[in-house]
Amino acid sequence: MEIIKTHILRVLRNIWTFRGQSLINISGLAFGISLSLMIVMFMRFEHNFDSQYPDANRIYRIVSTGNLGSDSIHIASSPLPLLEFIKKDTLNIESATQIIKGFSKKVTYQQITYNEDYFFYSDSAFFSIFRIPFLSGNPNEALLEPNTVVISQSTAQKYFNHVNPMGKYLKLENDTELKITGVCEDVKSTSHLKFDFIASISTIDQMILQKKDSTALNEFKNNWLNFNCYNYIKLKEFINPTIFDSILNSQLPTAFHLQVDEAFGQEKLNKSNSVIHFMLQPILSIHLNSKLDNEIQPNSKKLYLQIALFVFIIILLATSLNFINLSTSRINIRIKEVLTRRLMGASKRSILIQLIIESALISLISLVLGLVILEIFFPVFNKVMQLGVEISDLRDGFDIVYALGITLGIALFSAIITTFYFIRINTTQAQNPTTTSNKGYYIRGVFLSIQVHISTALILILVTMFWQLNSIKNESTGYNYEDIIVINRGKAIGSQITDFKNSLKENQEIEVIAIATHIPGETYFQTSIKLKNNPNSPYFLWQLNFVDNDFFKVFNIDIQSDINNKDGKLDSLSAYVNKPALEDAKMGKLIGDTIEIVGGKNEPDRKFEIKGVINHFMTKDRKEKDLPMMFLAANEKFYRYIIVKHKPNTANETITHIKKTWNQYAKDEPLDYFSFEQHQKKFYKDDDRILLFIGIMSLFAFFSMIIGFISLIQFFICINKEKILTQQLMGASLFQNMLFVLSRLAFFLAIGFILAIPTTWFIIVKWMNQFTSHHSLPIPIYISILLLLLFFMLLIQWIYAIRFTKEITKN
Amino acid sequence: MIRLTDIDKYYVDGETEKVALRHINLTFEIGEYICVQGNSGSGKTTLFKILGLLEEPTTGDYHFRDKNFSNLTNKQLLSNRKGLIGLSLEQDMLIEDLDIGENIALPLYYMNISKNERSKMVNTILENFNLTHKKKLLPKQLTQLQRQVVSIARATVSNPQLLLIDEPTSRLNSSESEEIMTMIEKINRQNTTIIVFTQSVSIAQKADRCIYLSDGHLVNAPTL
Repeated sequence: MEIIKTHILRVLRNIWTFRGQSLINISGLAFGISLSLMIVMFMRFEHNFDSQYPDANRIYRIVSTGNLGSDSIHIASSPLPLLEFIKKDTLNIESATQIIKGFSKKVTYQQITYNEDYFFYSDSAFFSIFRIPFLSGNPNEALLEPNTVVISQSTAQKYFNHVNPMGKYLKLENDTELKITGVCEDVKSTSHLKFDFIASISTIDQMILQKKDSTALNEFKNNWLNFNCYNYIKLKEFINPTIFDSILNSQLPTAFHLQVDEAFGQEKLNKSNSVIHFMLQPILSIHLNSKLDNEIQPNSKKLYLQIALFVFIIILLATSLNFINLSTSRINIRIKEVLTRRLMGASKRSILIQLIIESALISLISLVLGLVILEIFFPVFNKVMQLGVEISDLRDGFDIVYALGITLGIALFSAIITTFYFIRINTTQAQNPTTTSNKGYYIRGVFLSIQVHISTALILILVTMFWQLNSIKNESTGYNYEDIIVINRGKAIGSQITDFKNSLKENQEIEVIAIATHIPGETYFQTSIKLKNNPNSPYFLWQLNFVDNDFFKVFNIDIQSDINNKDGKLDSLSAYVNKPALEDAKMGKLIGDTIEIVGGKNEPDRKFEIKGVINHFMTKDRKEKDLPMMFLAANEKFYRYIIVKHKPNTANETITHIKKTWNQYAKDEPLDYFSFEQHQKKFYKDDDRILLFIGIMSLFAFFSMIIGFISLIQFFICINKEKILTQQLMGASLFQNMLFVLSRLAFFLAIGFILAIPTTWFIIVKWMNQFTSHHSLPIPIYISILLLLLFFMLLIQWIYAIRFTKEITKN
Repeated sequence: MIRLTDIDKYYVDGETEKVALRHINLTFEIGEYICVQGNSGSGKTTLFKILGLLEEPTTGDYHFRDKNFSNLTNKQLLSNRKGLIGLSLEQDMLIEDLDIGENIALPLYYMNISKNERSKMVNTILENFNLTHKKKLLPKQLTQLQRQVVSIARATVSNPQLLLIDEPTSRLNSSESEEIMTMIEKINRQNTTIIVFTQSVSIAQKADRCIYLSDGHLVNAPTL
């Protein structure tokens, strides 16, 4: 105890004596610990998706892959009838369930109405696979009956406050009433499936029966070509999913093959020639590895985790090496002290213990500071990076153990290295640190080169990424995106849309109003089509959007139409296509041609004359090439969005008018609107996050590099103290001594700089590959940035070289 | 009695072998006051290290009373040195962020002497050397003479049987040197064997005898 107390007091005194350097050392370590903790939390968050479900390693989603004509499909959903077929396999399957997306639903309880985006339908097996704790109700029975619903805890709070919601009824927009039969905990943020409502799937049966008849219901439930649901199974223990996969596909029912044949005009084929293949996808791999269309919610990418891991390693290395560097940079003072202790009888062991206690104490101080930094900055980091990690996760045992472990690990590592470094020095070497320290100087120099390299590369990558993202955001999309307000769930207006539009237009600020089922950047409907005028036409899979003619005026889309047909407007018998559709069909022009949308069973094919070609229209974003697309006429019963184009700088007035008009036509419907420009900005949300992340890492790397500079300059001056003093005695000015110091560092600086260029190039090329258009940073800008960085680094070196040289020569 | 028999010390630097000491045979009686003289490169420092159990000789024997200090490992050298031999180097080797009391207590600390006992011994030494009022000062607050006094005080705190002092007056003026020499004589009167390594003639004159080294050999006294 006494030993520890003595050392603690000594360390505290030391910190105060060299408070400038101690502040740099402690804050450097604190930031490093804090950042590495944030990254660990992020990595755990990303890596542990869906692992909270018991037996998650046995839960699989059934996904669909295959070819339709010349187009391949890879989608996360699968047909509705698949579940009944799968359930027959009681040998391999423990349980199976399916989920149908409810899309945006208006939900009402008494006077409270919200538009809900996380509404799903499922069956009673749902909660046996996704075992989410219930606060009220029985998970095995809650979804047995039609017109029942389980809601999440926060949803219960939203609608019912503190009143028990069990047995109460929620109303949907089609007047369907759902009885609340369960309240479950909120789904954790680490789930690929987020919901607020799970209604019983048999409710859909009731809805169809009410609207249509039992024939329609039967067709809905037996349609193998409608990939409208997500099927999940839980395999029994020790069942090999690969084997189950092949059994599943080899034993698909005849009905499936017949419907495919009928839809695509093929002869009856052997079952093994089926164009659709169903695969088991482990739910644990969905978040990071799934690259399918029609995902329930957007997933992440493994690349982000890899980047995070790489950055984590860099941060830890930089932090611990900087710590060691700074601890040993005042080599002349430390050597003398260690040597004195050894002369006075200290064993290597006691020196090691002393250094460990010192390092541990400074590390613990840094840890406390680091945790404070984390508490302050993590919510900001979380929000800006749009992560779902909660700071309370930090108080999880694992993270605390990690934090302590990493801190003490750095302390121990640093102490061992430092002891090893000093313990070998004898009195002769102590009097002449130059002979012993050249190796140490070169090692530090190499480390500095690495820091310069990383810091420079990160900054160059940051600027290049910013340039690319900014450029593609400003690139022509083929449509206008400014001064547009989009009203979601516009179908609440329904068939009153014409009157609604006219009322809106009474406002002088509003220019044009359109309706559509999709807006640019969304995932569109897909449909199979063939060219009627070509008897050998294969089937194509094109995107589909239903719009009115004002849609093209709102977005200022250029349409090339048949010059002989001035009335190129869209109507129920006509269509527009885009340039990729032309290329897909391998036709020079399609105007005047007739295309046919393939109907399902008992649904007729529909024919449309192509009246216009859209020359340039970005279907999604610059990460995908533009897909073949077709526009058909929307009608007043079939649209989702009302899109309002207003005059520049009149957004507020327009919104006020929209609100007023909405209240006149759909008072009971909550108004949900957004700026299209804001919507557009989210196209590259992930890349913006990465950019921000790189920005933060650049700052850290730069700060770390400065510490590296300081410690190397200090070390170099210490070991060349005699030389510098001698030079001064011989008449060298401060400036000349400075040049001597800086010239020795220039080599390491240059190496770091030069290496940064290929590193930057390699990473940027890899990142740029995901975009369809590339905007490289102009060479003059690259050079300017490099020069600016070089200037800044030299300035830092200069300032600290002067300071330490003056210190030496003064004494 | 302290005896060195046929001590040789070589240092190997790559392919070159440098002879630091050759055929050194010396005997010291308990309580003697010896002065070792020689120019730079004569082997004084090497002899200091061997006598101080900082290094082993390449060949030869080192007997300290009834103990044989030949062929020891570094760990054994260290453990034998503690409490037996006190060292005071030319650079005072004070630890700058420990106060005077703590600096003096350092050898006792590594001998695992209890805190109370240490405190008593340190206070005794401070009194003997007239440093009691400077106990809480830091080394940078002392003059060169005071620093040298503290260095010697630290070397004697454990009551060593042999005290080795390297160039105690190299950084002092004549009156300060006189003070140091008086102090050394006072320590010697307590029957501590003292060996001073110096180029100073005044110290040589005060010693019981002088040993002269030249190029690693013992030589006769130089003639003026």
